[in-house]
Amino acid sequence: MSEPALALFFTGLLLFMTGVYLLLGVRNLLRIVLSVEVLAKGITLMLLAAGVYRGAMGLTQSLIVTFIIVETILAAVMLALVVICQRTNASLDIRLLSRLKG
Amino acid sequence: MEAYVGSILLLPLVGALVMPWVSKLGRRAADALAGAVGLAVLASCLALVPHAGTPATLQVLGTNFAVDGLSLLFLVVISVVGFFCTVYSIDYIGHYSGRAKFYALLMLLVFGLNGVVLVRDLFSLYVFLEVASISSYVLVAYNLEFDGIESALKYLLLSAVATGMILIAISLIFASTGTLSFAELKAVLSGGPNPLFLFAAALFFAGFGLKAAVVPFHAWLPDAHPSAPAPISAMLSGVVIKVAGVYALTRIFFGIYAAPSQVLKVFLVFGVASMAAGAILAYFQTDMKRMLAYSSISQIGYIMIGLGLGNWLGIVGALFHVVNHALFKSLLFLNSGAVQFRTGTRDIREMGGLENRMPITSVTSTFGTLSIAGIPPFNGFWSKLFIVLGALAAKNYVIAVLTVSFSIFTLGYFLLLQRRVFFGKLNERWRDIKEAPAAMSFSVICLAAGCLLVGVFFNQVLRGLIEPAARVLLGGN
Amino acid sequence: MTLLIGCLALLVLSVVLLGVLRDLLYAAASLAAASVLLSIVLFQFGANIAAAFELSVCAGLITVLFVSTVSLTMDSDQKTEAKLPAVFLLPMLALFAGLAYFLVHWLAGALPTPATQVQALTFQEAFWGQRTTDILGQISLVLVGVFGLLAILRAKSTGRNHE
Repeated sequence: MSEPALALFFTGLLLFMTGVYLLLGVRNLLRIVLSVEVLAKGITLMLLAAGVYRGAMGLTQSLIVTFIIVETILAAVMLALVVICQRTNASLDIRLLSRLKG
Repeated sequence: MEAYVGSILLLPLVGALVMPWVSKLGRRAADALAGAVGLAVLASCLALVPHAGTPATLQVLGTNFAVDGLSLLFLVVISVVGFFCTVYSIDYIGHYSGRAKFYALLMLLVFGLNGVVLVRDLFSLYVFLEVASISSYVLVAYNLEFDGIESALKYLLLSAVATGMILIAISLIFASTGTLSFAELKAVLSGGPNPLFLFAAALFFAGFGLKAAVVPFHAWLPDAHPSAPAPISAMLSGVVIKVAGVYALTRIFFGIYAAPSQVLKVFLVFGVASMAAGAILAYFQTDMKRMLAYSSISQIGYIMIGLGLGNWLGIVGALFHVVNHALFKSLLFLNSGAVQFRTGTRDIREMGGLENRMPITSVTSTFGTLSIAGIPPFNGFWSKLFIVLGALAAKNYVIAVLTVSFSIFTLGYFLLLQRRVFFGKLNERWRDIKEAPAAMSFSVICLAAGCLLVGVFFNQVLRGLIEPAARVLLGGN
Repeated sequence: MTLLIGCLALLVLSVVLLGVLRDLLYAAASLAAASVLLSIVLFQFGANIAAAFELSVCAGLITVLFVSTVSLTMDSDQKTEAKLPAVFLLPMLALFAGLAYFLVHWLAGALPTPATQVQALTFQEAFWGQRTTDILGQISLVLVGVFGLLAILRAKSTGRNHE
């Protein structure tokens, strides 16, 4: 059993769960963006772990590169939404966004 | 055939790319480009329909794509609804700025959805799903008003968790098999049950279930769909939840997993929950579009039930319901948009007596109501009939009774909606309003005619479009 | 292996800092640190190109975007931030670590040993040869990003509005 791969799986899962926890717990929209990024770091580690385990680094690298592009575009759109949200609402506290409380 | 698939895929992308320059020529040029791209994609899809029975793998720009009956069914749904929403937008989008950006994003949404149904690889499916999702987040917030932005953020955050789960499942499957292509995964899985795949299946179900807005993963839909501009609500409810949710679920659970009975049971349970919860919550809404959004959850429940029955009749009914729901729900959302366009409100209690002021909208809404409630000869009747027959064939009488009773309940709340909005005494405020503009009326008339024609010629639609798709799903068994 | 464990531990530590630091700019800096550490991890496994992307795009570009958003919004809400998530972060982290350990333990048993290695493609072969669909997806994603930002940050409706 390849130990580095398992260490990567462990950290990836840990970061993913922490990201979801922070996403649900925090109130400031910018902090929520950071939590989504934490979640994304966890997923990058999971993809890397799968590649390390299979010994297919070339393929995994291309998956990770694509994922990084997705993550960046998502972050940019999310930040733009946060900016415009603050302009219409003058606050970033999601307690004032009734529907985000779910 | 490659030319058709190539144009289905690439025309929306090229259209979006050149849109900023074309729109410099004037508003009408942007309208014409968007309409022409929509029409060309629709024509290419319809030209592919005679080939529905023959799966094919083909290369576009050196990239592998594949078409089969299931893909084709969804391609037709995307392009029909996409085209009429584009035409509808020509008049509707007049009061927002940034017409070119709107069309470009709408075309990219269509491109992403087409990509999702044409790829045969888990990770590529995820990438195209993100293309479609990110454009729909922006489009939901397009009016730049508070509720739109708020629900776009909610949609985005819940989707981020959902796609995270999908990616974890993908990486586990990759670690376990070393491949991501559907065909190879299917071959690996036919070797026997694998606990890791069951864990991945749970993650896939949660992830794509959220995209499909299956109860209890539906929280984003009743906010996102009503706050979007009407053509986008129609796209989201009519197409996006089906392609990103139902299509992906069927492709994975029928195509790769070959529909084991545990998975079908899960489909049934969540389907019944969605059907019941969606219908009951819809009854209590006073916001017209919100009621339609909850009813979408309920109708997705019907589709899940049909798939979960797992027999021929159930699956044919579910796939037929995908087509029918796309037609009548986009019709109803576009009509609610027309009402909002003229009256400026979505509150049912403020309306009343609009039938003489907006005759086209009123009549086409009646068509939509009769379809969604499953009144013959409209299209919704046949698909619900097949689902009920499937339940009877599976000796699942509880499901059959529930399906029929919620269908009657649906009729009830839609007639209530129809009566409060269009019939009765005219509210004095709306004395001077006019019928919706020409392009908007054109779209809803075509969609209403579609509801009736698909219902009348249901046999041809079944033979030509639905049965090839059902054969793809059951080929795995 | 020691280097790897060290990097991963620091990665988790920077995420903890992100959770507990009160100042948004410091939290953003912790995210950038996490990205840098992740790119070192990627580099250790020979994923050079992915590491370069992680370093320049995630640690660089996203941090820049984030900091400019912070200054654009001139966030005044930091005092209203709930204390509870930060207080409970460490116990929750321990819980998650237990859960992740359990899952990985189970994975180690459930994952089949890769008997036949996938033919070891290089990045170039994999990216430009096998994953061309993803390249098409990336191009369209960039377009979505451009149009999305233009649409969100455009001037609000000019024409006739509802009522």
